[in-house]
Amino acid sequence: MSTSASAREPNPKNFVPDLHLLGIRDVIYKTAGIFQRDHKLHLLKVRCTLRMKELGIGLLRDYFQYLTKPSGQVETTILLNGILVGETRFFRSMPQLDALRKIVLPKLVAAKSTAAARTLKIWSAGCSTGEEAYTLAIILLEASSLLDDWTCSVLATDLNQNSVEHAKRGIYGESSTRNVPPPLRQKYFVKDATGLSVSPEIRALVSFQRLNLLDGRHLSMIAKTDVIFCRNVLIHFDMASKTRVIEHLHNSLSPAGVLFVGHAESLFGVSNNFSLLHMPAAIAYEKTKTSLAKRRLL
Amino acid sequence: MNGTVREQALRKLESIENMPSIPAILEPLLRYLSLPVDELQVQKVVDMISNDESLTVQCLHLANSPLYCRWQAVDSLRGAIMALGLGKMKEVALACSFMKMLPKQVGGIDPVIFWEHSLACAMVSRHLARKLSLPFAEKAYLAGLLHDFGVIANVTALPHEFAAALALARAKEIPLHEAETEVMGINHAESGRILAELWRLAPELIAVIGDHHSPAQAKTNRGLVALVGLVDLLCRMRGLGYGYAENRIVNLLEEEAYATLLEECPLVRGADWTRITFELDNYMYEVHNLVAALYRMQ
Repeated sequence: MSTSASAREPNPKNFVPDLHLLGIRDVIYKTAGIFQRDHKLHLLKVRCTLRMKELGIGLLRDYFQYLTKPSGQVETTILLNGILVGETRFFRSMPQLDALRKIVLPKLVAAKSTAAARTLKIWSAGCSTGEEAYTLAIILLEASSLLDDWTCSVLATDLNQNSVEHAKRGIYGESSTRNVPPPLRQKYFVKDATGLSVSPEIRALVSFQRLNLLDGRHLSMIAKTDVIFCRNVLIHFDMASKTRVIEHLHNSLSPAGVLFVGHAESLFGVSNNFSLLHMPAAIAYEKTKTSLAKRRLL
Repeated sequence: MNGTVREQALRKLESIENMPSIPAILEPLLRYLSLPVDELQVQKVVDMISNDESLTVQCLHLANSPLYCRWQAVDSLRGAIMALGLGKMKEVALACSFMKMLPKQVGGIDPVIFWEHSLACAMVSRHLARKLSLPFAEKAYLAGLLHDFGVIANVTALPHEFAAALALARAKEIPLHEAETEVMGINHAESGRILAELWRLAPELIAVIGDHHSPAQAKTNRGLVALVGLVDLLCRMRGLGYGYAENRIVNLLEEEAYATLLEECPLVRGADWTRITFELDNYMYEVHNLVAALYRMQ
């Protein structure tokens, strides 16, 4: 089983969290939808201690109360930004990528096999510097036996123009490509003086755009997407904006489409239009079927 | 289905003679530990456990394991019981006793993996029952621990057939009970029921063992059966299954176990299954270490 290695990592020094730290975990989950698993709680405590020092707060209990105040949401975001690894890299979160490759793509191909146009669209929403988008393109190319006569494309969008420009250049260092399996590195990257350059074959599948996920007018043009990756992006929005973004993503998704969010991220309380899906060691969301939506309302 | 194969399997199960027995100490110990806490005497528990050498050794070993971080080494049974607590003691006695029932490396299943799955189901079933305020929280642990009693029956009575079923499940990445039915004409739920009835286990345990893959058919304790069935599925999807990943996509809300649980316990409606999934991951470390600690001393 492809159990995530981190889930089995021992908790260093048998760290025992106190009640206020567990309370802070709950605050983060309620406001940002990110759940800190037990083996990450010691890291949460380190971040809390750093923030407390910056704010001049001595006790974890007081910091917990600070976070629960109406103004605490901004602080929660600051805290969370320190916890989530900002670094992006190729082949991140393998259980999700395995689920895409082994389960979602065959399911979509089967569901769309009678469609007039054999097209498959993936959207990397909040693509940062492009590693995720190119990874998805590699997965599509590697699934050529399944997608032989299909037209595939990856749309990659980000709010930050500099990130989009970086992504378009498609040149990466050792650090962000360290997870690329050697055969794929050889096949899809060209080494030059500036680093590893993504091959033209991969670039041909991916198109980059600067896009604000709250821009409904532009978003309405992105339709019939089969798979959306929107990982750890929603944490940057307040609840009202998050609900709008999720509604846009819902509208952009094809009926059989699948939405992946971060591996510790939840849509609970944000939208009833999505249903949770379990795949081996990975979760994702699909559009809630009408019968299920009705059942929920009963 | 090949009737002959099924009939042969049934005959072997019904004439099973070499089934390992539950240690004699277990029944009186569990009866004593179920008394109100203020009536319990640690010395009495010490006296009972000291009659079983291997349980004594396991208690000592566990009390000294990193799972129960101690400042000083525990070198007496009394100290071990004090370190573990009487509640944990009950769980350890249960786990140790049942672990002895599965022969090592027979039928192709790794006993460590099997008990990790069983213990995970026990812990998560109890966690979920408490979290959702279900009326059978105290029964959930034992029900989860024993739900796969039929695997022990199959390994003992039908070792070659079971090994073939497990190999098929692994190769086709399908649920074990489906592969068992394909190979033997009978699955571990059915064979578990036969043996559980033969042993005159409590009716609620027979229902869990016999119906956890078809909880709607349970004639008694349907809520408990459905809870364990759902937790079993969740554990298998999160890397705590039988040592391989089932290549499938699961929407819990469309599962028979969920519909049955909802019928029996309406409080389940609206539960946050994403968070429950993340919380399940928290048990990985504990389950892994507990089984490793217990097995090391067998």
